[in-house]
This record gives sequence, C-alpha cells and structure tokens, in this order.
Amino acid sequence: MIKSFVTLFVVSLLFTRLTFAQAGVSLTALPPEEAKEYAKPLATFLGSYFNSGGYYSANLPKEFQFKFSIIGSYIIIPKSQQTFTPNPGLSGYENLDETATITGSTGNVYLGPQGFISYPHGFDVASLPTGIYQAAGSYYGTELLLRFFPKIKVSDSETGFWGLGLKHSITQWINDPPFDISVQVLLNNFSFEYTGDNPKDYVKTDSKNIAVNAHLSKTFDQWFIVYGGVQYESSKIDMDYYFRDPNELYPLLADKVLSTSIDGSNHFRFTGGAAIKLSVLVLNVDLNVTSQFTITSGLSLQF
Amino acid sequence: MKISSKYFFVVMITLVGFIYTGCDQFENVFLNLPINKEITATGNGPDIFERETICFTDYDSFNDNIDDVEAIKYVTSAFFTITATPGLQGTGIIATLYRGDGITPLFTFTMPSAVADDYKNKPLKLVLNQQQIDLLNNYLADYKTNNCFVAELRVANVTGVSGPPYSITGQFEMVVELKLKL
Repeated sequence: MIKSFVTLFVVSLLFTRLTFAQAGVSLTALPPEEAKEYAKPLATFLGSYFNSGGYYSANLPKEFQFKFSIIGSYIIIPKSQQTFTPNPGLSGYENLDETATITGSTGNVYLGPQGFISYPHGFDVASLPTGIYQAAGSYYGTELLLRFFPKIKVSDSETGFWGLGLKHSITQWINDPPFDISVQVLLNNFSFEYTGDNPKDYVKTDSKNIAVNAHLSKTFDQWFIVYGGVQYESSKIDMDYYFRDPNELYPLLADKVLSTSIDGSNHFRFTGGAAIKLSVLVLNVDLNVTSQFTITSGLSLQF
Repeated sequence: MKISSKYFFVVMITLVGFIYTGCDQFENVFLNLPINKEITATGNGPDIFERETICFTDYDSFNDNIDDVEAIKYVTSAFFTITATPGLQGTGIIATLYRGDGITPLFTFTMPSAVADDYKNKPLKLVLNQQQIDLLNNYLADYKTNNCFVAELRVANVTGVSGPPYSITGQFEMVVELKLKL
C-alpha cells in the first residue's frame, strides 16, 4: 500500500515528496486529539505550499495577458514543529515527555498503569521541496489564476487538487503611483482518499487553504522587478481515518472510522522577492516569512 | 543595473533549483509495533509457571507491511500483574523470553519484588543489559525466520493468603521498531 501512496503523491503533486503513506499508517495508532497534534505540521506545510507562488509582480495590464508558471518551493520546518507534548487522556499517563510530530524523528514510548503507549515516528524532515504549476489570465487589471490536477485513481487510492486565485490591480485606480499595488485571494483544495479493499487502511483527507494578500512591486528598466507583500492565510485538513488502537487503550474508539480537523499554524506571511523578465520568460525568487519559512522560485511564460 | 547582475540572478535561481532536486528522498520509515501477551500461571507450587507464544504475524501492523520490512529492532519491554491469588508472593517473579523454539532464552528478568500485587497497575520496565539487547537484536536480524517468541512467567516457591492452588495473570509487553522501505 505504501508504494502506491508514494507513487500517487509524486504524480499528483509533481515534485512534492511528502506523502501520506506513512502518515496513514501512523495515524491509525492515534486517537483524534493526538492525531491532530501529530499531523499539525502537515496542515501547516500544505498551507505554506499552496499559499505560495501567487504573484511575482503587482502589475496587471488592461490588455489581455496570459501566464503559465512552474513554481518550486523549499519549505523549512522549524524545530518547534518537530515535537509535541502528548496528552493521551488516560489516567496515569500525564506529564509526558515530548514525542515526534509527523515531521519529527523518534516516536516516544510511555509506560503507565495499562502498559505501554507507543507514539508513531515522524518522517524526520527539516525541510521539503515542493512543486506546482499554474496558469493565469488577466484583462482590465483583473487576473484569474488556476491550478488543477484531475482526480486520478492509482492502485488503491484517489487524489485530486484544484486552486483558484483572483487578483485585482489597485494601481489602475490611482494617478501616477510610484509602484504597482494589487490584492489577491487564493483558494486551494487538495484531497486524498484510500479506496482499497482493506477497511483498516482507510484514510480520507481534505486540505483547504485560503489566503488573502496585498502586494506591491516596482519594475526597473522593463526587466527587473522587486516585489513584496503581506498575506493572511489559513490551512486546515479535515480527516477521516480508521483507528486501529494498537496499544489497546481506547476500546470505545477502536476499530472505527474517526474524524478530526487539523488547523495549520500559518496565519501571516511576509514576502519579499525579485524577478527578471527575459522576453516572454520570467524568473523569480522570493522569501516568505511565515510559520514555516519558505523560499519560492518560479519559471513563467508571460504573453 | 549592469548586465552582470542579470546573470547573477539567473545563477541564483539555478542554484535554488539544484537545492530542490538535491534533497534526500524518503527511503525508510519507522513504525513502533507494540506487542503484548497475557499469561496465566496456575498450580500448587512450589513453582508455578506458564508459557505463551508471541508471533509478529499476530499483529496487523506487521502483516500489512510485511513486504516492506527491512529490519526489526528491540525498543523496550515491561511486565505488570493483572490478577493474582490474594497475597501471592514467592522467592522470585521471573519473566523469561525464549526464541521461537521455546528452548533458547533471549533474556531472563527477575523482578525486584516477589510480591505480585506490587506490579498491579504499576508496570515494571524490564531494563535489559547491553548483552541481552544485542542477543535480542541478533535474533531479530533474521526476522523472516525468527518472528516468534515464547514468553514465560514463573513464580518460584509460591505462597499466598489463600491456596493452593495459586494463580497469577500478568501481561508481558514489548515494543519493537520496524524499519520499512518506501
């Protein structure tokens, strides 16, 4: 099962190497409240990922313009998101030492009145590269951005992705502004569902990511662009999964499909970057200060 | 702006591209597999003991990943009393883990207290020495063949407030780490 999950993710998220494969296996060991803490960095990661790369310029012409971009992001997961303090909600298992989150390293094992409770290991990753493609068309200073990957079924799972962005140039309403200003809204949704025969492997996730930003840019000599912006964003994963209870400590929850909702910790983002235009080709790099520091670079064709 | 800065910028982007593609891929993941076995020893003494077989194949987490297991490593183990004849004690409460053949011991652990109730709701972590851990890990190194154990619970020179017969039900727990390939 793990292989097929990995294949699926590599295909569906292009260069993204983070997989739900082991996440699915690991999460089956945790009750919802603990699964939420364990997987929180994943929700934040998906937010950092999908809420990146929305712009490299605030300039939008009145004439029709089309862009196709390939965006690469390098996301750094801070140490503070590598561990969490477990609270299994069982008498005799209080004040526990920290254990790994999904991006951390070693899952801890705790001994209490009912024996061991074992927490899952993480992926042991401090940074992750990702990639995505997008197309955008604008007219009269308003741009529609689309990201899409059709729902596909590979082996025993199904995944799909879509993203939508709407951007409007404020500059056009201002007389002779010193720089360009735009506002943008981004919505991105990523879904994954296990569709195989083993009900004990069931995992379904729905990642919803929203961002609203204001950004500005200044173009020098028609080819060099400096840009920056502030963004409010949120990310959330709604997840259903089969809880196996391998520690046999939650008889009322065991062997059922449970639901939880995981909020990412990314809320504000400050972006600063630069781009160069070489005819129809645009190359850009920006730095994003947010819950997970992100470097984004893009290669775009702009007509 | 000079043209050289344009090239500098292109080089920067190329470098970033290399960083992306140069990152380590996930090759292995690790999974903790908790194993537990209830053992009931009953008898008139002087020693009471019982053995139970434990196999990794009894556990879904192992079976589901059986084709991807690359290595198994011992993590920790514990014992606790579930029920016992009132006042049950002896000269020693002993947990022994054998290889699957039930003959060759991997470790023997004598509890510091020989009173069964001392381990009721208070599990004892079985702290093994390095030699015992190495022996276990050597056995686990050939996990395709060596995927079963025999666990024995013994109370030596048993006495109790009531009985004979005497009885103790205890739980042996062990956690092993599975290294899985992706």
